[in-house]
Amino acid sequence: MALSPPSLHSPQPPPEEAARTGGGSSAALEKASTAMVKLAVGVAVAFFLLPLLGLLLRTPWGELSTELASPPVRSALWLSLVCSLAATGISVVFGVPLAWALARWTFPGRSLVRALTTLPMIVPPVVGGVALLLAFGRRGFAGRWLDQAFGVTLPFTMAGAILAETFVAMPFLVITVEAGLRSMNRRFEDAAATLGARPWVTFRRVTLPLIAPSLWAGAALAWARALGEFGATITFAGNLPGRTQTIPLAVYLALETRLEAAITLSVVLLAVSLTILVLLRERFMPNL
Amino acid sequence: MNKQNISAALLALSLLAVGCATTGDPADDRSSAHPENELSGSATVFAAASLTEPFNEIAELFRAGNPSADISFNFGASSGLATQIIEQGGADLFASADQVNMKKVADEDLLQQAPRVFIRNRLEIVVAPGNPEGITGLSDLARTDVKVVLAAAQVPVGRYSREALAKAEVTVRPVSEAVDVKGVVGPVTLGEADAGIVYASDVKAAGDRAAGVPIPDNQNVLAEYPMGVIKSASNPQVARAFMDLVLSPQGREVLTDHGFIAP
Amino acid sequence: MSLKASVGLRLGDLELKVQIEVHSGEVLAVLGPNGSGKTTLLRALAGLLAIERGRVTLDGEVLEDPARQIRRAPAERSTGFVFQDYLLFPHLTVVENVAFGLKARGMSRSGARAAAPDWLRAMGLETHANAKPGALSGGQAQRVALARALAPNPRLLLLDEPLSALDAGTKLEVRRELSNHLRSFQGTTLMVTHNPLEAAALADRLIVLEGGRVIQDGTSAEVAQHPRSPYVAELVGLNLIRGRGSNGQIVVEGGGLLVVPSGFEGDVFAAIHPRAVALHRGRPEGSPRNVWEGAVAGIDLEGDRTRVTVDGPVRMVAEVTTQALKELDLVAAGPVWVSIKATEIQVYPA
Repeated sequence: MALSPPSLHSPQPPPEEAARTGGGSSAALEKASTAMVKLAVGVAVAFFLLPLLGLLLRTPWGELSTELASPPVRSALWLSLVCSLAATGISVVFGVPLAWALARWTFPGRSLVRALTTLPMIVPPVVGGVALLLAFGRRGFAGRWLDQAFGVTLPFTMAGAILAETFVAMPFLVITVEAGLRSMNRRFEDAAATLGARPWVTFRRVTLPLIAPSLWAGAALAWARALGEFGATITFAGNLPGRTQTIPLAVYLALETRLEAAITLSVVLLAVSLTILVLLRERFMPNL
Repeated sequence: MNKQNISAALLALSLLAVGCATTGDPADDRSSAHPENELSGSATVFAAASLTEPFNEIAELFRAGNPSADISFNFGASSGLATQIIEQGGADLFASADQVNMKKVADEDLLQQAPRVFIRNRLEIVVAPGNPEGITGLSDLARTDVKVVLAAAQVPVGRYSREALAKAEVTVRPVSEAVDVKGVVGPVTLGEADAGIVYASDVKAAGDRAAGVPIPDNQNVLAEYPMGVIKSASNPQVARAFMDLVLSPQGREVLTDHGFIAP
Repeated sequence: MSLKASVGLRLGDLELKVQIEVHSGEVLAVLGPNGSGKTTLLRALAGLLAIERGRVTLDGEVLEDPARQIRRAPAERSTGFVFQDYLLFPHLTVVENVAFGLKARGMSRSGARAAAPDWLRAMGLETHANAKPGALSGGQAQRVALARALAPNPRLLLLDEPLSALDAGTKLEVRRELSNHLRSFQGTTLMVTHNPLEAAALADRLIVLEGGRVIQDGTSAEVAQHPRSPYVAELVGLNLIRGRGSNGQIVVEGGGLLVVPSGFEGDVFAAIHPRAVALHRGRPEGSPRNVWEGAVAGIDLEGDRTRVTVDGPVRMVAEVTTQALKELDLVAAGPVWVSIKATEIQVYPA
């Protein structure tokens, strides 16, 4: 906690300041509320720190490298990264236009569409997985069509895992980008238009750079959500090592038999995702 | 210790006092299947996922006989439950779908007495109603046009399934390895998978949403379900009374009605 | 070669109905109080707002004609817009900002890169080429905004309060530069302002907008001498009285009588400079024809001038010296006498 040295304060507060903090009761009140805020901050930090500490204290550090070298772990880690990054990419490609429509277009049922978009955040992921099965499964209306028209079946495939992760991750991107689009000063787009920029050029050269922080934040949130996704994935894509078994599924199964293995896997996932986030942040969001 | 645990402990303490006053030695009371002796409070039973339906039914019987006592369940794969009991506790009674996971708990010296096998289960092939793929036995599961879901080898039914397949000398490439037995039944009833290996009791539990194809005895594996009261139980009286009810002819009948086999 | 615009549109409470004509090389200032529709007019001309009725043509080319379903998008109009808050793209450097319009209008990347520095040099900004707008001072940002708008060589330049965001110190210098740039600009210029001095310094002609209508137009000298609304009168610092003239007298709207040079009949305006209004503590002797008793309602000190508002049969603002203020002890209560020579009153038809 940083406290400025007392010598930096003038010994007597200037008159206005004295008047402002003068009422003894209000000063005491201010002090008390500051203390309350600090307490809340401390509790919140502890709340996040303690579980992490629990994980790290039980991590068999010596086995970490062996664990990392084992083919099942490596394939699960690889699958996790590929699927979550693919899900993030799809979320960006389809989520940004959707966010644009929600922020900029007025059309009947817009709030309904917005509610629909946030649905995956609210329903339990397992339910989401079942819903995906009922739509895109072998017997689902969309799945049957996909199968007949293109010979594509999604359940129990890596594409299915990506689809399930996209389903739960995209809402985070859409909501964040929509907020960015709503809060940006749209008159910059007017300025671009008066300079001769067509809508697409305006979007690419003005809007997108201006909402970049929202886009990165949304993508990072979506990626994190996809990386940790369990329920929808196991329901829709199943659990097959090397094909659909991502780290969270591997962790869950390891939990069935060996807690240490589960912890090791979790720490590996944690380390990899933190590294990627830090690298991304330094590369693209140096100001954050 | 959380609030719930504290109140549960207080309840247990008061129960103990009542028990002492009425019977003198509550610890020796396990032969009694009559729940009239003023049982109260709640016990938490950790039970294998395959026991979901019969145990819920037995719990109804238990509540009818003990209006002031209650049973709550934590159903899941036995392996996961064993890990939870060892790591976190919170269980009064543990009913496992195999001996291996019960032994893990027993090895940690967490059981009050030696566990007792209360029921057995055999494996069956679960298929869609009407068996559209015409599956007749384990060898059909090796067909490339049949999508098979097996439980993961880490959970008991997954281990049994692999034992059975080994006995039948069949190699299966599953499309998914479910984390518990219900995760095998689900895709089959939803039509995403064509077949899976589960307990006979699970086929029965699925009702008309699934059908079973028997596995001959020489290929089958008989799963033994042991149960035991946990040493640190917050309400051992209720837990033991529930265990007694499961072991009673009444309880056994419920289990066999659900496709289990009496030991 | 000119801008001819008839703009009719409704935006919230504002109903804009304006007809203007501005020639190439001419600078038209648009004056008006807040909410009078000045910025709305500029946005409509730029195509950022659709007009509902009317027609906009620039150099004979129809930009917008709702009746014929013609509407050119903002990007398809040869317009340069300097916004009140400049709206420099914060993620681009100064030179990239200036090159933006060049590139958007089809110039190659290298061409734009080559052309933009000339503009920066013209604005004296070459040392800031690679700075981000956030690092610029107000005056520098204003110059970048002007360079950005002028770089694609538009035929219509729209300036929305170009000097209002500047502090008093830089305002004069930037105004002088702006005046030079406007003089050398070949196209048509519209400049919104609420400062009559700026209008006088930068524009050839001005219109006054009130409630979405043009209530006055002319050169700034004409408008300053013959205000036609209380807003303009206050802006140029004149007393404005409206009434009916007959036989060398004006019957003032709302009561009162004013003796004026004869020859004005019917509805008239009378403009009186505050300096022509004399104040006395007693009834003045001599020639003034307009003399009445009133009470001081307010005193405003503006630099070395003092303006005293006197309530009476006709409300009047007088400009007195600080010395007179002291001598007459106008701060104290008591009656004051107002006198105005008839020859000091400008009368013109309403």
